[in-house]
Amino acid sequence: MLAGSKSTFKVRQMETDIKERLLSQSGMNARGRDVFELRCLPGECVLQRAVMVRKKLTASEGRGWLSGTLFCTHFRVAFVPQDAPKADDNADPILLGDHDVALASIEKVVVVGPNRTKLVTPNSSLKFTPEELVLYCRDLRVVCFLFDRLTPDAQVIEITHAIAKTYQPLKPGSVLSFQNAALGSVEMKQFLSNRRRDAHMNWHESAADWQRELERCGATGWRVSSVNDRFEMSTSLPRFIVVPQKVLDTELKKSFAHFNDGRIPRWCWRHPRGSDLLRMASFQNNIYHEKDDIRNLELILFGCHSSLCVVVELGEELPSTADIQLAHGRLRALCLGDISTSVTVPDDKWLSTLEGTHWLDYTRWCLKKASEVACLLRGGHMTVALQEAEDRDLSCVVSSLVQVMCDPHCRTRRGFQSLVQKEWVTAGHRFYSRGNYHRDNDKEEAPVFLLFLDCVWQLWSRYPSRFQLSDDFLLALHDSAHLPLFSSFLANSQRERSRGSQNLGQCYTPVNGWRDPLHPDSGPEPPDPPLPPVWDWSLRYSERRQAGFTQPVPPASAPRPTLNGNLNADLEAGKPSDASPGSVFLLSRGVFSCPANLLPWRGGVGSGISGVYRKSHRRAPSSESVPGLERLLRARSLTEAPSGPPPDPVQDPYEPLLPLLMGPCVGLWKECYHRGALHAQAFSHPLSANHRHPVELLGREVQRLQERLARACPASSSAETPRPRPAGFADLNHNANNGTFLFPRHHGSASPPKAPPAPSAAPALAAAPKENANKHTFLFGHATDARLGRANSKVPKSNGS
Amino acid sequence: MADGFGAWSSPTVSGESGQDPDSPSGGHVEWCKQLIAATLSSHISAVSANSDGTTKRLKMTEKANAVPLLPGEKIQMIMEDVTYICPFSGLLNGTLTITDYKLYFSSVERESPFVLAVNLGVVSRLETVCFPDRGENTEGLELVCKDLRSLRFAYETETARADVAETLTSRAFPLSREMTLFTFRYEQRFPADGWKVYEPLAEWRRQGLPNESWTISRLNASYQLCDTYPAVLALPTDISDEDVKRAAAFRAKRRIPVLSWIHPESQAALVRCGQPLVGPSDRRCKEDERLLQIVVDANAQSHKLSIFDARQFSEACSKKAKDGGYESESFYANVELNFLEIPNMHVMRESLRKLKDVVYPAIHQARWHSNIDRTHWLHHIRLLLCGASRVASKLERARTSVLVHCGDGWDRTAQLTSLAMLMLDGHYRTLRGFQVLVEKEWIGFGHKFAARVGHGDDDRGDSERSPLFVQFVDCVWQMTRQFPAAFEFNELFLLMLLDHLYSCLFGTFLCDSERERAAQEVRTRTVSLWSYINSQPEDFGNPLYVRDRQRVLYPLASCRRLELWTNYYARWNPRMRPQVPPHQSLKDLLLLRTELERRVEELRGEVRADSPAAPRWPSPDRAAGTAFAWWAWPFVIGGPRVPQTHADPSQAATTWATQRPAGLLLGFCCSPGNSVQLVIRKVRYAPENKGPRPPAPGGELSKLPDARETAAPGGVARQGGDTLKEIPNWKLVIGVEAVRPRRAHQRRRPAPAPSVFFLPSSTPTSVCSQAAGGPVDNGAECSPYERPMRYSSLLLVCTT
Repeated sequence: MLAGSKSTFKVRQMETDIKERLLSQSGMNARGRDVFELRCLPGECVLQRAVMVRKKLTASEGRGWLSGTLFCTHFRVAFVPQDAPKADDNADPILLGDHDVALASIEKVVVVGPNRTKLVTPNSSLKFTPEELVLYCRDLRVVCFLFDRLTPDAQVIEITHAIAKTYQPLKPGSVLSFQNAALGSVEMKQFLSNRRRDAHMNWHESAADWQRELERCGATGWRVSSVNDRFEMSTSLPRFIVVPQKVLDTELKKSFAHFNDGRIPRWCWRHPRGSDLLRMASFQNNIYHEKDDIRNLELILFGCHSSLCVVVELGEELPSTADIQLAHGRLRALCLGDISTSVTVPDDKWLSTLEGTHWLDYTRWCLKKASEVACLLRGGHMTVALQEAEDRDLSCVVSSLVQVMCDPHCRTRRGFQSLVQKEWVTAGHRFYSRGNYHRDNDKEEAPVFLLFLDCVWQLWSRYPSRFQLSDDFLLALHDSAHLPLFSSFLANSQRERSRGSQNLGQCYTPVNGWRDPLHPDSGPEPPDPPLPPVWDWSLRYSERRQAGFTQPVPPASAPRPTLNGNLNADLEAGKPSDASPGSVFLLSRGVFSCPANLLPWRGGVGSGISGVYRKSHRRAPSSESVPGLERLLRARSLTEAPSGPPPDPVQDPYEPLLPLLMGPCVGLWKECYHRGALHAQAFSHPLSANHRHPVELLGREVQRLQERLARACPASSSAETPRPRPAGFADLNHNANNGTFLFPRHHGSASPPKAPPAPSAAPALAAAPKENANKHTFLFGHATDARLGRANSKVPKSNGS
Repeated sequence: MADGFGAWSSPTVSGESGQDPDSPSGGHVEWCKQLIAATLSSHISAVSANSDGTTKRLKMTEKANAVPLLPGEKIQMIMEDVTYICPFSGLLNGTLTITDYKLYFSSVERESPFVLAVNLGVVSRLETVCFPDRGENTEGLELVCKDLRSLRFAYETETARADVAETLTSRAFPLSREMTLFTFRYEQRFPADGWKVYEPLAEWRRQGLPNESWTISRLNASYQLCDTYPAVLALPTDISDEDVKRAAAFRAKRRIPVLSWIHPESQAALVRCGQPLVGPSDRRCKEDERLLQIVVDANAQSHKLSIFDARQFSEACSKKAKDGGYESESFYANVELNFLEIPNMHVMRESLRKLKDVVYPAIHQARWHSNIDRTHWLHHIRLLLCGASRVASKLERARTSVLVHCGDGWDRTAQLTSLAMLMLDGHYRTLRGFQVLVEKEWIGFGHKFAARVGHGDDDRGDSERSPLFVQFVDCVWQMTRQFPAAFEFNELFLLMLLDHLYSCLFGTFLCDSERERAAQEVRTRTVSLWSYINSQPEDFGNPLYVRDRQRVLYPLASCRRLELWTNYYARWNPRMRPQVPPHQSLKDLLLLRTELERRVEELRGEVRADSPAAPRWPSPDRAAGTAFAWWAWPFVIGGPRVPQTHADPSQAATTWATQRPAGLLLGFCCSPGNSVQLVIRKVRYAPENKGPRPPAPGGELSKLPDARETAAPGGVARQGGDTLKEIPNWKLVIGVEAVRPRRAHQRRRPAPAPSVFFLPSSTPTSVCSQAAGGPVDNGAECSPYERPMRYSSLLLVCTT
């Protein structure tokens, strides 16, 4: 076909008979495979394939090349390595294999010829036979395929055209058709609707979920209110919110109007030392404040404490969403050295250019803010309320960062998922607008969530051993945010999400439907296929990849926070004792103040405040306790050299992980942004996939030997040694990760896996390590822990890399 | 560092002194650790980073004015009421003590006591500064240090002590005042002897020398051939001594081309030398040309020699006018010449000086990255790594011999050859191997440490000083970042190396050449840094290390991939200090690994005891409470391969027995003491089915004749004894984990896991020792999980 004419190839239709044949093949056998071993999804059909293609591997995959067959379907570009193990036909379908690229995540297709490179568009023609096909992805990957001399030229050209034609710049229509291609088939719909949710994480959707969270944090004095159950009070708030117990729902209802979009102060988290973290939008000033309203407002704001409330203003010191978008755009351009335009930053200007993107500055600012808040919280007995104009962007970043810093549970994989679910998904971060998958509103686009992931990575790289989740997990989450497939990331609020979702069991549908003209910012039309949540990892990642989401060795840390949260007995620098009760301070630009107009109603109403706060307000909030608060901030080495030895975080699990914020300490997330670097050499890495790590090997061997031991003498040893469950790895891995991942034995042997760790078990667990002189031995008393066995290839590095 | 200096004499004492920090030796030990591991804590504000920090802090307040001294150290003067002008936390009043080794400042003004200990070797310059705002009587001293910091003290002149500056000067620069360095009075003794780490002959033997093309030459035994070269040189076999001498006259500083490293398979050689003295008139030297031709001929795989001139081309040309120059491709046949364009050492010094301005005392937050760009430090690192990768790739991929030189062949040459060797040879990536590398390429081949660092000397000024060794260590650190599992040592080791480069506490980096060191009797009169390091190797280990000798590392030398080593350059800034020191978590990981190893051993023992299918090996020692350590796998040349999939030796033995490859089957017991008892069973290789049938699994094995021999750990069992003599043409190699003194944290040390195998007696010793897990003479190290890897490599060696 190619032999004679190497001149010009227009994009043309595939010959119909071939197409039909392909279609009928995959159509007949819904779960079948292509003749060349591509395992198709139900309803997926192969448009084109090319044999004898080599894929360039990145550094983390071990570098080098992998040869196999390249496919283009109307959902993905798939690559099947030659000697890949045959997948089990009866296994659940995986949307994207390890080497696949979803069409929707392709941003640009570039081919490299013998002496030129060319950007390929649907309408372009090829005047040469490509030797290399480079796919630039939105998630900063660059996937590079090399065509061998053995690859038939016709196939090369056909597949290039097929890819160029089927990948589309994101538009409303194309996103929908992409979703349909992936999930639209009847089988797939059925499969998705039968999938069960991960019961081991907290979805924060029902009232019970929130109650569970309250119990986990030991937050007394708060209750779950269903006042927003029908999204009547606020369209962007979740159905259930947590408010002080002493405020009744009727009183609560009056407060919504005082806040932007009705986002009243809501409880997010309680620090083990007893402080509460709140989030709220800015005040609506143009509303008349009644006495009772004001009392209610203050009750909400002070929560179960009566002494002190600090309002942290987020707007001023943090980047705006437009800044973030600009910085991220620059960073992309810098990191994806573009082969088609061959504009590269000279090597000796690299650092300066990186500085010019300001991305690192922004991560630093967010981390700084979060560590300030974390330090405040550790003082105990106060509420800290994060205030942002809309309360839907940077307050998500800061509040979740604070929890990652302070709460060991949030550093486990499931804990982190619950956190994102709580502070982002249900709290109404506008994923739909910020993600801008449909390219319909470029002004709103801003990768706030990616900024958050970067901040978490900064913490992770500084304290890898304090996290149970690994950077692979963060990377997977990063990539998922670029794939318009997940319900979690495709709606602006819980309301929109439940409208879109077909899962009627979960959400409430009013009788008169949802046609509500009062909400002009309503999201997209409900998409056709039921979209899965992003946490359903097994849809996208193989077991092996998922095993890499957690560290093989459980971090040596952390008994659970105790229930009453009353831990601040020994905190000498901590509590500002001279705080007058009922004071509200504003923290802005690192300075505490109590401006008269902080709470707009105070100035207006004057001394006419009713209730318990009358006395204090007559005195007017004095600045007496400001030094106390400032000491609290300073005590944690944010502004000064630390005095005294750093407290040992292993000993004190409540000590927040404070990032180092000096210029040199905030690094670039190379595993993410440099993944596509084409200048990487194709040399193998000593710690590659086929070369397991010693600790991992040891862990496996422990596991294996224990199994053998169990087989050898099943009767006698079952009493004395903990036994791996017959169910195997998967089960163990599921129930071992529930916050108390350190002590899986208690889970495994004593009680059946239960979703929330029984709170009463916490003290017993906490006592365990103390009995042991050697702090590491307890790790091995429970060596049933399957995670040692199914370890991934990652092990905490000293300083990240 | 659970036990310190004082405890080294006997391992049993260590636990006690560690537990009792109150005893004078305990406090001293504690302090020594602070001083020597001066890495993260120059501004030591509280004494201990250990777990029981609070108690120690209290004790330290009580005796804050008691200056901890090293053995042999003497206090020279004490001065009260001195102000330390700390750039980070303001002014501090306290007591300044000057000894003949260090400067010690302590202040109890603040809540937590402040201690500053700086060894005087690190001082590069002393300057008097004035503080006009603090009254006329106040005088100030500024100590400009080599490790990128400056310390300022202020004191009142009235209260005398005009001699402070004088005392400091004389102690910081003893050589200029015709005094001796403190290291000659340092009386600490360590259990390990670092001077024995590097034995040139053993190292050459490891590389398979002498062979037919290269020989070990004693020509320079009295340093007459070249006074900056070591006594033992590896030279081509085919050249006469006269020719070598004539060639020496043609090379700068008489530094002729000598062998640095040889590729174990292709025999491609890495050769180093000084520049040829070509001069403006393009002189030639027949003998030099012949020498290079012989180097080309020694490598059968290639007919070319790659010459890498580290200098910039312009510099090499200008040297021609000064009687130096470069090899002309027209005179030297089969030579290709490359210039690596690395700037000279003055540029490097300037670059580091700029770096100091960026990192100390204040770090400009917003302009940090562009400031780093402007110092060009990372660009120089990139050039070095890039050059070294080119050298390594030539040797490994093109199988071509390489000659490296710069001007004199002791600065950039040493950087390039040692980096290339680090990339090529996994042995140098171990803790011991790296010490050998530094001893050989830097200390042995005459890098002028005394001049480049300026030990105890302020006369020579700046022009000879340059941070070349720092640059090299930085490059190594960059490689450890890119290949986290490839190096056996950790960052703390590299920091320690650099700290003691300046400190003059150890004799390792003294003097300019081997000849000077011999003249000053450095080896007998001082302690080696390696003694200190090897006495507590667990502090410097990398838990991620995977032993892999064969792999060649090619680091990515792009500024995108390089990072500034802030843990070294910017470590004085207290805000750069993390909550948990990184080396602490490394140590935790190492402990974890040790525990896992122990667990594997335990379980393996249990499995063996419980599993009825496993063959029972008679072991007289087991009854006495000792356990089997390991079954060595049978290893037969030419016979069918035993599948390597069995991680368990007893299973392997079963397979072996059923598949009936013939050969040797052996096992041994290991008692917890030092002796290894071998149980050797022989099965003859019987291609014609004449020999005895291999035994079935189970008890039958015990009917075979066996023999026992006790061998010391780490030794090569000689082919003595009757049974061993019956195996002609085979030699027995034992690798045993080095027996280390028991440490406090190891409640139960895993039993040493020896490995035993037979190799054809024609196998070179280097291969044997490599197979045994290290240089056999030093006590090879191996642990069970690494065995499969090594075995596979062994098979490779023997079947080719």
